[in-house]
This record gives sequence, C-alpha cells and structure tokens, in this order.
Amino acid sequence: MKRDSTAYRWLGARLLVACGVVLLCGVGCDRVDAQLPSYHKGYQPVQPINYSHKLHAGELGMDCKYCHFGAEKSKHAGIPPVNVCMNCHKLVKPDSPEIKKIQLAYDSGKSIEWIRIHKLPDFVVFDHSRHVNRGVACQTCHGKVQTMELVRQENTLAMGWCVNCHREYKANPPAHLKDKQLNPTIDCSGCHH
Amino acid sequence: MDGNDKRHPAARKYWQGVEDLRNDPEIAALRDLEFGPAPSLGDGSEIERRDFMKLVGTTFAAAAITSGCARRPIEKVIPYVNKPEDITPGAPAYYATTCGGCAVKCGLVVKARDGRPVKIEGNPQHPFSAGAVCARGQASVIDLYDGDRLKQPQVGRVKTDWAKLDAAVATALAGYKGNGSKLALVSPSVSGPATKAAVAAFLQAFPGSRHVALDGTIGSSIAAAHGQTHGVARVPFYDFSRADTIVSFDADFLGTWLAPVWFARQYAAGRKLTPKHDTLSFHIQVESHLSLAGASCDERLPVLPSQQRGLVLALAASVAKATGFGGAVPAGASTHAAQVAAWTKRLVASKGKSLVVSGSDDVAVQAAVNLINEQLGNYGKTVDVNRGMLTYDDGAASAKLLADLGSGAVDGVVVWGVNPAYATAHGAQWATAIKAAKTSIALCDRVDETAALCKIHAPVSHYLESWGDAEVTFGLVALQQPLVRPLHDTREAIASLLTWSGSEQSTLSFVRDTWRDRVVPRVETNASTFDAFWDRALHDGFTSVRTATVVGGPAAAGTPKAPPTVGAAAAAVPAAAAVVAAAVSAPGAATVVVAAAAAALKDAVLAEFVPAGAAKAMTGAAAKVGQGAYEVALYESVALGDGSQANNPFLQELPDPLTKCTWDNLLCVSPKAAAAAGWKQGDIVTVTGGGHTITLPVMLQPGVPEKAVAIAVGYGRKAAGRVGTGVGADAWPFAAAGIAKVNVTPTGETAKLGLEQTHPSYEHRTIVRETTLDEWRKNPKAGNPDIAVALQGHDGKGAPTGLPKSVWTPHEYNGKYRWGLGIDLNACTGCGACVVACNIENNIPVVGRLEVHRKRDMHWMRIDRYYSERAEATPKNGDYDWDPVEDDWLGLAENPQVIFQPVMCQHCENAGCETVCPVLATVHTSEGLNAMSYNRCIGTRYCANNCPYKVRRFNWFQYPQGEMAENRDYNLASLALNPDVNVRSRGVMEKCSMCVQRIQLAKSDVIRAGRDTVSDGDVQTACQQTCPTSAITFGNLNDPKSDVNLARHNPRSYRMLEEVNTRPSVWYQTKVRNTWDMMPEGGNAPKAAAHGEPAHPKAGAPKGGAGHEPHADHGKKED
Repeated sequence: MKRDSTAYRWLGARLLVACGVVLLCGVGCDRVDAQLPSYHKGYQPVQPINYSHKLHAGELGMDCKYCHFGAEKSKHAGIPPVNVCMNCHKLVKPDSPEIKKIQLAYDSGKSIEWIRIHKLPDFVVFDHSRHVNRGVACQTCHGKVQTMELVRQENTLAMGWCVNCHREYKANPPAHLKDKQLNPTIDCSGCHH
Repeated sequence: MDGNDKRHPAARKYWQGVEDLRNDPEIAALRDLEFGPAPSLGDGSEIERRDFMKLVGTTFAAAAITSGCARRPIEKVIPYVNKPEDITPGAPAYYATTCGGCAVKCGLVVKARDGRPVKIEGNPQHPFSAGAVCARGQASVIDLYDGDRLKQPQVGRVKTDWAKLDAAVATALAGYKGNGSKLALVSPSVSGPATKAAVAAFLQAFPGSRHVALDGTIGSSIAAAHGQTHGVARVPFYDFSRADTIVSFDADFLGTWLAPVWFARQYAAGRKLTPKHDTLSFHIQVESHLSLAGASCDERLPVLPSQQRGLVLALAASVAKATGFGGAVPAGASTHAAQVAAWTKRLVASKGKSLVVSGSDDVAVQAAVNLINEQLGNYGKTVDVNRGMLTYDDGAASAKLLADLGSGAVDGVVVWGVNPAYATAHGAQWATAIKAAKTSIALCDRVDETAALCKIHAPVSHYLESWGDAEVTFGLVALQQPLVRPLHDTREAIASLLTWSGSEQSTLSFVRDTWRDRVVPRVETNASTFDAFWDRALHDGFTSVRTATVVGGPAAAGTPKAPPTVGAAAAAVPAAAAVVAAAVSAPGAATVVVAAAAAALKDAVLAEFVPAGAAKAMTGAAAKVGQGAYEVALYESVALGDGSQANNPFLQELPDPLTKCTWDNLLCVSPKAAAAAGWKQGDIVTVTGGGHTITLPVMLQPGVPEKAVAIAVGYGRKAAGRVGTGVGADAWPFAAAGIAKVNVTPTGETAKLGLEQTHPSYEHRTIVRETTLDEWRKNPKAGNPDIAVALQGHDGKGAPTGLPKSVWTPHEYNGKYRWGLGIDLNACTGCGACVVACNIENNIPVVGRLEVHRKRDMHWMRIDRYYSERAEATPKNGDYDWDPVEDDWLGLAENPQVIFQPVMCQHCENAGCETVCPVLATVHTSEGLNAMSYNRCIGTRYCANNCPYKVRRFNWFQYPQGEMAENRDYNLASLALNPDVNVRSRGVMEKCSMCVQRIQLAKSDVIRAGRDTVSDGDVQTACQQTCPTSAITFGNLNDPKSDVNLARHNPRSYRMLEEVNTRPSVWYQTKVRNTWDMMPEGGNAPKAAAHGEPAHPKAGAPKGGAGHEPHADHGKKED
C-alpha cells in the first residue's frame, strides 16, 4: 500500500513532539539527577515525627533489629508498628509533644505516615534477611544511621554499587566477613526475577 | 534395538493433531511464524509496520512524560498500628486448610503474603492427596479475587445489608416454622461434623423440613448401586495402586472421575519404573471420547455410549462364568465378544489385584461393576465399601424434591452451593420449579443461573475466607480455616444457616464447639486440652479419628459383624460414634440427631454383598436412546469440570489436555466421520437432538467412535460472570435424554480454534522417546539411543572435552549449585495442574481468546500432546517430511496412542537465545539457569526465533491491564499476584525461570536456619510441587545424592534435541509402555509372541486369546 507524504510528515511531527517532551522534562527536573529513580543519594526528607536515630541507636545503643525486626526473617526490614514504639513510650516521656503524636496514632488506629527514603525499583529484589544473617552490617548500605539525627540516603543503591560489593568480597573481603566463606552472586537472577 | 520392528519408536512418527498428520497447508505456513501472522491491534485488525512505528512513537512520548522526570513522587511507608503476631511484612506465611473446589476436599497448605492468600499448594501430610492439587484447585485462589462475585446481600435483587436480609429471610421462612415439610435446603452432600450440625440446626428450626443433597450423577449412581449390592449407599474407597489390571468403562479417573488427584497418585505407583518396581499395571479403557485415562492406558476400545451397558453386563456375565459364580447374571447384548473374553482372562488372572470402574450414571451398569469386582475378590483389596471415599447421595432425594417442587408439595427452597438450573441434566425443570417456588433463598457466591431465579441472595464467602470442615473419607476429619477476612460484605454459609435458625453463635465458636463434642471423642490420642488438640488440628489441617469403635448407648446394638470380604476387619464403622455421642451431649437437637444416628447405625453394619440386589439392579431399564445420526458422549473437561469455575480465566485458558483447545468447547468427531460428511476442523455446525440445538465448531478428534460426537459440559454459562458467560455452548440439556442422538448440520461458517498444540512445531523431529516393558527389561536404554558424538570438541588448549564440537567453551558449574529438572514421561498423565500452578506462581498473564488465536499464549510451561500411529505411514523425503495419504491418515487417526511431554525452558548450556540477545537481557548464570532480566529486554524477539524448543513468550500488550482487565477488576485481580515475581510489561520477553524466586527464597531460608546448602526438600518448583504423580523432580545437579541427579543418570534419561548440542538442563525419561498395540482386534492379551517372552510381566498373565499382530502387513519399507 502506498503511503502518502502527509503520513510521513505526521509521523515526523509526532516524533518531534516526543523529543520535545523528553527535553522539557529534563529541563524541568531540578537539582535531582535525571537518572533512575533510585539514584537518590543524599535524600533526607523531614519525617512526620521528629524521631532521632542518633538518640535511639547511637546514644541509647538500641539494636536496629529491635524496631526493624523483619531484617532477620524477611525481605523487608520493616518500619516498626506503632505498638513497638509504645512498648517503651507508654512510660518514657509520655508528655513530649512528639510522643503524643505516637500516642494519638496508637489510640486512633490511624498509623504514622513515614516518608520512604530507601527504595529500590520494583524489578529488583533485595532480601534483608539474606544479608543480615550473613553478618553484613546495616551500616554497609544505610551508612552510620546511629549518628544521624534525621536519616538520609547515604549510598546510591544503584546496581553498580551493589555489584561492586559483591565483586570485591572475593578479592578483598572485609575483616568481619572474611571467615564466613561467602559467595555473593553476580548472576542477574540473583536480584532480578 | 530391533531395527526390523516397524513399530519401534525410531520408526514411529508423532503428530500433533489431524492437521499436522495431514500437513495442512495452513499449519505448514504457520510453522514459520512463531508468533502468528503480522502484528495486529487489539481489535483484530491488521496494521502495517509504519502504523506500528506511529504507535511506538506515541508510546515513547507517553513513557517520557511519566518517567522521564526523575524527581520521584514522595512515597509513604505506613506500618501497622498493632501488627498481627503471625504476619511479617515480606515473609510468606503458610496455613493448612481444606480445598473447597470440589467434593473431594483435598488438604491444602496455602501461602499468604502480607495477609492475602496468593498460592495454593497441596498438604504433603494429607494421606490421599499427599501434596498434590489439580488444575482447578490451583486456580481456585483466583476465584477469591473474582470481581464478579456477589459482594453484598440482596433482597429482591436490591442491595441491602445483612440485618435487613436476615429480617427478610425470617419473614419468608416464618411460615415454615410450624410445618417445615414444604421447605427444602439443597446443597452438595455435607460431611464435616460442624457443617452437618449447622444443617441439622437449620432443619430443627423448621421441623419437618428436609436437606436434599445434589451431587454429581456418577458418584450418585455408584452410591445407589452399592445400596443395592452391599446395603450401604456410598462411594467405596478405591485403590488403584494395588491393582495390576485396571478396566475402566468411561471413567476418566485421571482427569475428572470422583477424585482424580488421589487416583493419579495411586495409579502412578503402578506405572513408575524403578529398579525395585519393574512392572507396570495393565490398564484397559473402554470409552466414547478420548479422556486422560484413555490417553494413558495400554489398551483402548472406542465404543458408542449405547454400547457401554452391554459391554459391562457382558463382562459381568463372562467373569461370573469364569469364576463359577452361581447367580443369574443377565448378559447384555455385546458387540465385542473377543475383547470381553480377553479382558476376562486378564482380570481373572489378577484376582484380588484388579479393579473395574465405570463412569456411567446408570445404576444397572454400576451394579454390574460391583458384581465384577466382587467376583474378582477385589472388595477389601482395591475397593473398600466399608470405608467410604467421598460423600455422594444416591440421587433419589433430589429426584423426589424436583417432583415435589413441581406438585407444590414443597414451595420453599434454600439453594446453597449448587446450580441445578445449569449444571444438571434437568436444568430447565429445576429452573421452572425454583422460579415458581414461593420462597427461594440463594446462598451463592454469584448470581448464577439458579440464583438469578431466587428472591433473596445471601452472598457466601470464598472457602479461603471461611471456617468449615469435611469428612469425606472415614477416619479423616478435615478442617477449613480462613486465610483472610471476607473481601466483600459476604458471610460464611454456616453463619447464615445458624443465624436463620436462631443462633447467634459465630462460625468459629460453632465449629470449635462441634469439634469438642463430636470429634474429640473419636480421636485416638487425646491432647492434654481441647485447645492443644484444636491448635494441632489447625496446624495439620485435618485430624485422624477412630472409625471402628462404637461408643456408648444405643450404638452398642450395632456391633459390627465380620464382613464377608477380606481385609476389612479393621475398617470403618463410620460416624455412628460421633453422632451418638452428639445425641447424648446435645439433647436439644435430639430429633434430628437421633435420625442421623439411626442412619449411621445402619452404616455400622458392615457391608455384605447382596447378589439378589445386584441381579435386581442390573435388570434395570436400559437407558433410552434418542433419534439422530450421532450419539452424544458428554464429558466434563479437565479444566472446567461441571462449569462452576467457568469465570476463572486461568481455567478457560488452560488447554484441554487432549483437544488442546482453550476458550471453547468443541464438537469432537472422528476424522473418519468428518471425512465422510465433508466437515473440516473449525466448521461451525448446529447440533440438534432431543429438542435442543447448540452451535459448535468441529474438532477432528482421534479416538472418538465414528458414530459418536463428544461434547464437554461446563461451557455456555449464561450467568457465570464477565469472563465465563457465553464461552462455548451449553451441552447439559443433552444429558436429559439418556443417551442423546443428534443430527449435525454445517452452517457454512468457520471459527478459529485456540489450539495451542500446533503453535510450536518440531517439524516431526522425534522429541519423545518410548519403548516397551519387554524391551526395557532387556535393555534399560531401550528406545533411548545415544546421540552420536560425531565431532569431538576441545577445551581451547587442544585437550578433548568429550563433548560435541562447539564454538562455545563449556560452562563450568563449580559452585555449590547447578539446577536441573527431571521429567518422567511414564508418570505424566497430562492433567495440566502444573501449567496452572506455574501461571499463578509466576504472575503469567491470561491473554484471552483472540490473542490465543494469534499464537500469543503466555504459558511458560506447556504440555505437548502427541499422537503416534500404530502402523507405518508412508514416509517421504527422509525423516522430517512425512506426507501420509488419506487412507493412511484416516486409519492412523482412528485410535492412536498418546504421549504427553511437559515442556518448559530447557535452560540450555549452549543456549541459542543467549547468543543472539543484543542487549544481554538473557544470560547464563553460574548455577546453570538461563536467566531473563526483564528490565533489560528491548523486545527484539531474536531469542524466541532462535529457541529450538519454542518456549519463549512475548508480551505483545500490557496484558494484565489489557483485554482481560476489561473482564476482570484489575485492582482486585492484582491482589493475587505473587509479590516475589516481577509483573512484565509490554514489549518484554519472558519464559520459565525454574522458579528462581523460590530458589532465592530457599537460599535465604537455609541461611536463616543456620545451614550451608540448599538440598532436596528445601526448594520445589511450582510445577513439581503440585504434580499428582510426582513426574517432575527438581534439584541441584552438583549434589550427587539429589533426586534430580539420580533422574539424570537413569538409563531412560535423555535430553530433547540432543543432536543440536544445546545441552539442556532438563532430562526426560523414556516412556515405557506395556505394548505398542493400542487396540488389536480381539484384545491384546498374548502379545509377546514376537519376542518369545511372556507378553505381560505379571506372573500368570493370560496367554492365548484372539490377539494377533495388527497391521503387520500394513507397514511399508522405510528405505
């Protein structure tokens, strides 16, 4: 079938518009790098409750897994349910305005809406339990959370960053993992399935 | 190997269907088009490449707008306020429960993720289903998320709430309070103690009302026949594993007959070859359409439906004569005297180790079957009537109810879980009767054909949302627990019955109380407390109970006497004990319960064969046969059964195991009849008979008798939902006419058929391997020749590798793992459970009828079904081309042998797909998997072109949200998705991953458990886990002790298309048959004359008979 030239022009126009949209988008995006959505190193949103990891994990020395109890048994480390906060804060500083927010959530049954910081794309599977049970420290990926008043994303969590670690283990295993005889995979299907 | 044997696999040809056998030009042309004709829009119109580019341009733009800006939306994470104790976000939780898919009630272990059920597996501890689930059971989790379920109570088709509905019901039923004789509760047979008690409570609230069980007709006729011959109207316990000789008259016990999963497991025990078990059971199938059992059998006789009765009666007479049975056995007119004689010899030779079954709904036939089994001493061995298998009513009560509804003796019905207006032989009568009833209440999951006629609709929760119980097999009480709160405003049926009978008890507390009263007294080893017992039962999903001891009061009078048959001494006295105990403990319910106790006490008298009853039953009137040219053989399809799950897209898209057709039922005719009448495959014809006319496409189906047509019921639903309504044509009305005879008239139109078998082609390369038992015993590698290593390769440094020459350096799997699959073709029955299990585990989209027609089905795993000829065809142009002339193919397609081969990605070492992918989206892993990175795939489809096994599937559209989304509520349906597996988007290639998500999960589990290595039992693929015959083994080939390694080194193992040196990781095991001759004239008892050895491995196998080498002169020289 013969195509008339208007069809080509129409197609050309459409491709042009498409390119334009892409360009505009690039310009429209502000300081955040216009790359994969997971490249959010440095992301540090303000949370609905002024919770300090520095106080809890650092000064008080609480184990990360007290609150993030999924880390050992699930893919997700998990955000602590409100009742976990209330375990202590029923008694500890119940009058603080921040704690009152927790109390309110607990009483009303309407949970706290934390802002998500660390997020991998849906096509990546990361299993916390696999790493934690092998002795990989939380800080390896999340940075020194115990020093952060407000948590920020410390690493890109991009594929190259992950794979580097998996590769380097063999060449130069970190001291605390040296005797574990780990064999971190660099197969695609290790994380993508 | 015997090169002169023309029937040897090397000389045999395998064909995918009649169109392939004849090499129809359309099929030949499509072979070159992996994904069918040119790309087309969703509306079916073809488009050109440039239009496609335009579309693609728009797509880019759209993609840019949505994802080009990297500023991600702020995402919230919202934790639980109070986390339920047994939920850890991201970690699966498993609960034992009982399947609600059909009457069999298999044990299940259901996986829940984050509080919602996502995958059904069998309960490995269940004594009968033993970890297996059928296709329908697998798919039943999808029914939970069916958007067409009734989501709210309705009174007079107006949405309301439960309080108003209960008030309306109270008003409607008030008139039956004093005299309930005009009220009937209709449901399938109930068996669980609590379910029975709820029914009893309802009946007690309306004294005089009745509960009528409406069950499948086959089970009912078996129960009725046992009432006549053994004094107990029940379906006995069958054990195919102990049968050396199996004769089945139209009973598809591997596909649809009674409890196919249990039977398949038992059957496989007699069909699997190991060094310790080197015999095969011999299976004779006499049937009117090609069924799954017929596909697996050794000898198959296609007969007309009207000939079945005569054959069974003749066999009964013949066996009675041979065993010296004195009673008068009426010999029906039989058409196949020679076969009957041969079967008799074979059966008598394996007395006590044989089993005869029938799928007839004719009580006379079933009584004759009982007589045969009795004469062969099978009762107490392969059949145990003292131990019921499934609860089926004998059907008399439902017939009476239908009459009473017509006469006005009953004018109130509560219909619960049955659809008599559709799924029965007398649907129209039921519809009229229910419509006319003064009171009609439906306890239904959707407004189906029957519910549509009712005035009040009480939506019933899905079984995964409900408490319940079942005791279909004596000695095993199964518990059903909910995994999720009702998704909609629905209520358990038990709760509704209790509410309407005035109780305010919750279902859970009712079930618990009933179990405390009625189950605990029957438990052998009592737990310390009831709570401990209950927790155990919840954990296990069932509890074993005593069946033989009658406790307390009146039951003592029913002390069982010794049964006449052997081996039943320890067997069942059924629920008498519990019923009696209940009568004592709950005097309030005395009337009902005492009546039930009386019935149970009758059961307590162990069954005894009643020859007079048999003789009386067997003289029952012959089924009437209508007028017309072709007899109709109705059958339930493996995927849809009676049609109750017709709205399940996974089942509609599951190819029928034999026709391989999706999204349609067909008029299956024999190729000979079609040739005589001039019909072609796909011609739309009208089928008229008994006052009923339907329109169906023609399917040329080998194995159907020439004067018969076979039609699957379960299609043509009028009110199934958006997916199932109007798919196919309703054949149930033909069941009303006894054996319907029909005339078939072409309409002149043709239809496309979604036949998945011919989508890929192997160009007649022999990819299935077979041998016979005799040959296998002589040589374990029989039929499995080594592919010559013609050109030996080297390792790059000049050292020979022992591998065929290849441009690729061999992979070294020197890590812990190398994954592989073993598939035993001897065990595979082709049931398709694995296909559905795979679909659900891996979020494989349903593409819909149109897309299947375009060869775009997405099944990662398919079961190829090949026919093979008994005689030689005329080969032309060497091995791969084959062009039989018409005389040949009509004969070949009459009654061919069938072989099934499950095919999934073969995970080749030298994978064709990997080398052609331009973006390295498909690569080889260190563990031998051929991995797909979906997010890297750009959709060139080169890999699919280059795959010799045709296992790669391409997402032409955004299938989950595409055509199917219009018919399903996407947000609801997507709740069933497996969160561990990516949902693939448009333009991406996908294929079997060997359930890599399960491998990864198993590795995490092992690490968590403090172990080092994943070994057998830690991980199963979805297909392996659900397989009723354990045909599939999966595991680590680097572990020398793993099952899959044993399978790989079995002498029967081979890899598909080894000659192309792809080196797959899937090993198939040669099928070993008893015989090459599916149906010799006059039976095939004496076959082994050619080898000078006993034909059949069993000692004392019958010799003689009228068999001969069929078509020995028919074959033509190959070269």
